[in-house]
Amino acid sequence: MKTKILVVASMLLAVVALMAAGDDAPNQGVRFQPVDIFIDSGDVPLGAWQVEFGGGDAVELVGVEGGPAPCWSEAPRYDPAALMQDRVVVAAINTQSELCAGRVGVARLHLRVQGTPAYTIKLIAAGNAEGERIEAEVSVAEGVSE
Amino acid sequence: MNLTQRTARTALAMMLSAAVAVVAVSCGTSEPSRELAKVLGPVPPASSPPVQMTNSSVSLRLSPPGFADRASGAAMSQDQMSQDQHELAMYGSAWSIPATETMYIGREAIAGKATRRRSGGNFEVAVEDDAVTPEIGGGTLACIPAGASGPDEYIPVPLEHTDVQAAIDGFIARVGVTQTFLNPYAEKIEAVYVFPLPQDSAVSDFIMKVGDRTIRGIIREREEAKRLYEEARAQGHVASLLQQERPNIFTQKVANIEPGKSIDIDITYFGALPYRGGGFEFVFPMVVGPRYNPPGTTDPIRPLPRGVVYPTRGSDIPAASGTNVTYLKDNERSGHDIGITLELDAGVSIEHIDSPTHAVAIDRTSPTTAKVALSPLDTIPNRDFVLRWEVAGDAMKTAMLTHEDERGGFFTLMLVPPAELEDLDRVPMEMIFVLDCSGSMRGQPLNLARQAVKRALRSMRPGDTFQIIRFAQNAAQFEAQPVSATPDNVARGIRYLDELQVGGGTNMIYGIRSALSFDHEDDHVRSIVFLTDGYIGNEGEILGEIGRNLGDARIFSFGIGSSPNRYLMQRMADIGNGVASMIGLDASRVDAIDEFFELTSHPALHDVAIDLGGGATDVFPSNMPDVFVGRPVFLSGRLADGFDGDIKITGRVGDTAQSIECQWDGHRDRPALPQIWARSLIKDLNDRMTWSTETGLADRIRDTALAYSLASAFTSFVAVDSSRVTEGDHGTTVHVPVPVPEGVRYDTTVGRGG
Amino acid sequence: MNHERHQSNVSGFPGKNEHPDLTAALQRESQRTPVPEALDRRVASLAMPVATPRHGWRITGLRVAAAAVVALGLGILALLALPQAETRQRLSMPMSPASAMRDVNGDGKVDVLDALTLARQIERRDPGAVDSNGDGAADTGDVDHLMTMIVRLAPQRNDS
Repeated sequence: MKTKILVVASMLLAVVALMAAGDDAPNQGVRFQPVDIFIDSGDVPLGAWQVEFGGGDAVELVGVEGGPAPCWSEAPRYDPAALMQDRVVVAAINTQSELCAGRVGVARLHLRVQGTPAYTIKLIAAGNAEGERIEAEVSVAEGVSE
Repeated sequence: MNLTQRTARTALAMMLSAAVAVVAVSCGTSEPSRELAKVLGPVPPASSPPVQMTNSSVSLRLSPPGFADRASGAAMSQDQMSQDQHELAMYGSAWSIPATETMYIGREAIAGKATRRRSGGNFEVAVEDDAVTPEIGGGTLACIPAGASGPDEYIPVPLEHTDVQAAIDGFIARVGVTQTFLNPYAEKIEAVYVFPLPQDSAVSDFIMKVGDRTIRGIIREREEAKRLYEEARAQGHVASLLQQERPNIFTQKVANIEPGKSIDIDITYFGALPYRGGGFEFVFPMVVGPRYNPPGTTDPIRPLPRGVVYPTRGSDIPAASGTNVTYLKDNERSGHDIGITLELDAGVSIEHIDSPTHAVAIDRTSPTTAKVALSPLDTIPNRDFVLRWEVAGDAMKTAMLTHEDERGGFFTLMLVPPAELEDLDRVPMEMIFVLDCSGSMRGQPLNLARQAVKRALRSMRPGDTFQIIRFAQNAAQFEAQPVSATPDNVARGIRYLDELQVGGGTNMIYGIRSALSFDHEDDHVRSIVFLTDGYIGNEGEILGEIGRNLGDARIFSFGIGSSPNRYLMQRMADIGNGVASMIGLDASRVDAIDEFFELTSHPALHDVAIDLGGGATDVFPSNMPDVFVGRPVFLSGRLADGFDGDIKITGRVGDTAQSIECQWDGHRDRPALPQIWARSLIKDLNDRMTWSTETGLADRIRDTALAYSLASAFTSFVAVDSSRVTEGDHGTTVHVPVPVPEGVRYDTTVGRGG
Repeated sequence: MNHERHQSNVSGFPGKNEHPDLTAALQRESQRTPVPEALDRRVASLAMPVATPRHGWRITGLRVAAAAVVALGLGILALLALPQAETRQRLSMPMSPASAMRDVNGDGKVDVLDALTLARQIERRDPGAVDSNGDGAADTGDVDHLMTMIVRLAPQRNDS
């Protein structure tokens, strides 16, 4: 009899533990944080850019915003169904007369992070004011929630 | 903390929680959760303090741009007045103020004395002089009757304004809706707003604006989007979530709005515009009508009086089930208003354009184009906005638009029935009229329904038969079986109509079952004519019943009221192989029943087949509808490879084959078409879910919606501002109360539980 | 006491800085607006058929919980066992050959540079500007159209 009680008690404990783990898991270590995309076009004013971003399994995209640079404050274009395949293509053009050169933040991605992200970024295209292809470097930097 | 400790702590917490829950249930605790509360607190007006006039005789001149030429306008009918509907849609250039009433203009209240006289069925307000001309930037003129406590009934809401900008190209509309949320309180809130959109709208873009920052949202599976939103909310981030509750009802949530802060939500949707009654119609619904939820409704749209917390005390109802819509009482007003601008490119010459529901300014920029703006004096969001334009009859041709991209080819086809049909006469008919006599139909709605059926009865031919069914809490009928439309029977039918009484809930299912249960003669075409406001929460059950038991009947649905449930009306007609019409609240629209007779007085084109060379697949609606004279139908489908413009459309009229010519402009780049097609597919799958036992339909809806970035019953949009954490906890949830639709009585719908 | 005590007359609106205390207003409201018992009963009666059965729920509740745990476990195992590729496949639609993409600058690729080139052509009213969306005119709508296509993810191999 005692054995049966112990078995039942153990099973109940296991059930509780499983339920507790199930409750806790989705929120464990979850944080929301921005990631800024920078493009360095050297001395050439940047007129257009297109990148492919990936964050690995730890990351979910929850919003896309323009970059901190005033030239790129408008939200860039992307596929709203993005990150279904762990990656997203983001792009923007600027037809205004005032363009930025050097290293500028062109977009901010809002992410839900759980675990350690593995960011990847690939420049698909960058162009000058007329849309001619130029050399440029792309990088990402984690932002901080204020 | 290791696993054992955590488990033990969790178990202890669960036991304590369970104990608390048991105590709470047994004691019937009445403490509402903060998330469920509706807020009724006062608010400082956004504009300057109200103008107060103590002068015994005051008149005002309102001259918004574009409306100065309208010297007077309709105000309110006597019937409406007697039903305690106190809103005046005024768009005159000058008005004076009734002696005993308080007038609101936007957020400003003005009290004074003046005269009002009756003219015909409408009230006019006399113009006296121009002595006082307050600065008025526009807004809504509302009339609060004597005895009401006027300014005391101003209700603060966290939704300030809705702005609608529509661009119409031919019969495709692209509509942007901006909702401006503003927290008028001294502490942080979450705003929850339940609002309508057209039932066929494909919501495809979602943007959240926080100050001067713009964040584009993403689409996710419904539960995942909700989880992301709740997590962000709990962590203090500004976040927003758009959920579809019905194809025409959505819930917008905005979390962590700080005191005094404003957040804009931009929604974009596409849709094909219906052609009815000789013209195209653009409709923008403004308010969700209070629904009745029969027992057993699993996902109710629950009407609640403002201030009532749900679940109610002592009930076992889970808080998460269904959707709550809170309503303002008759003498309450919020500051929420609406603006609509519309750019129309009809593609063909516009013969006439007007709004039967609202005051609008129309700028005819060319014979084929126009700009339309809602009057700034007609901005209370309490009835559907309708804009109609007629094009030359011979300009209506069967036409197809196409699009191709890496996903493949898509088309939308407007099928116009051949003119020859008009020369053919119809076969004898069996008309089953089904009238909604529930509480929400009290007054003008039932009067209009009666008038429409009487008109129909008088138009019937002796070889026809008819039946009348009423439903409310239960159903009853005129005769055991349909009777011949002899003069005597028609007279008896009219007396039966006159004796109908309203009251009780809306158990439409009884009316449906009664209507579909008669045997009928094979040589009569059965038409079931529904007249209802459709204010029910169990649409799925109704559509399922029709889908399963329709037989060879056709369903024609007539929406009654200022904001009928257009989704239900249209889907009943779609599944029932008929058409839907909206009578509204305007007595002059009773002649919509004549249109019905015109439709059914000629045979319909049936067995329509489309041959697009390489092949058309996934064409929706999947049950190809019959095509009635004057009622084009819209089809959406996929184009197979190899389409070269070779289009063959055939059908039959009776036993005679018909061939229909189709125009195609050769363009393959109409970016709205994939989403319109995807929306058609989702609509079809949704319908099948109501009556079919097929499995996997929900998965197909979700996958389609995700692939085409569309809001659906299984997908939602979410946006999070991760760059900032607001102070304090997640704040209090505030539901935005809305007015009951114009013509609907609060006391018989919301006040008495629907 | 009603909520209008803060605005009891026309000129009685609080000033802009007099934000009301929301929590206090809520508490007052919950005390002041008791739910009528009749309404309570009515709502409860309507909802009962869809609510949790109340007879014997304590007994059946444990059974249901145990069954749910077993189902949960099986579900987790199933999820772990499913290859990720299958999930991806489920979320994708059948693909057909792309044909609408426009290589505006003729460099053999369709990317954001084509969109900017098109935008500049439209600015200059270049007669060669492509009417990308087929609305009869080359304008910003065409640039939008191109941008939408550019950012759409190419299908993965296992999507087909």
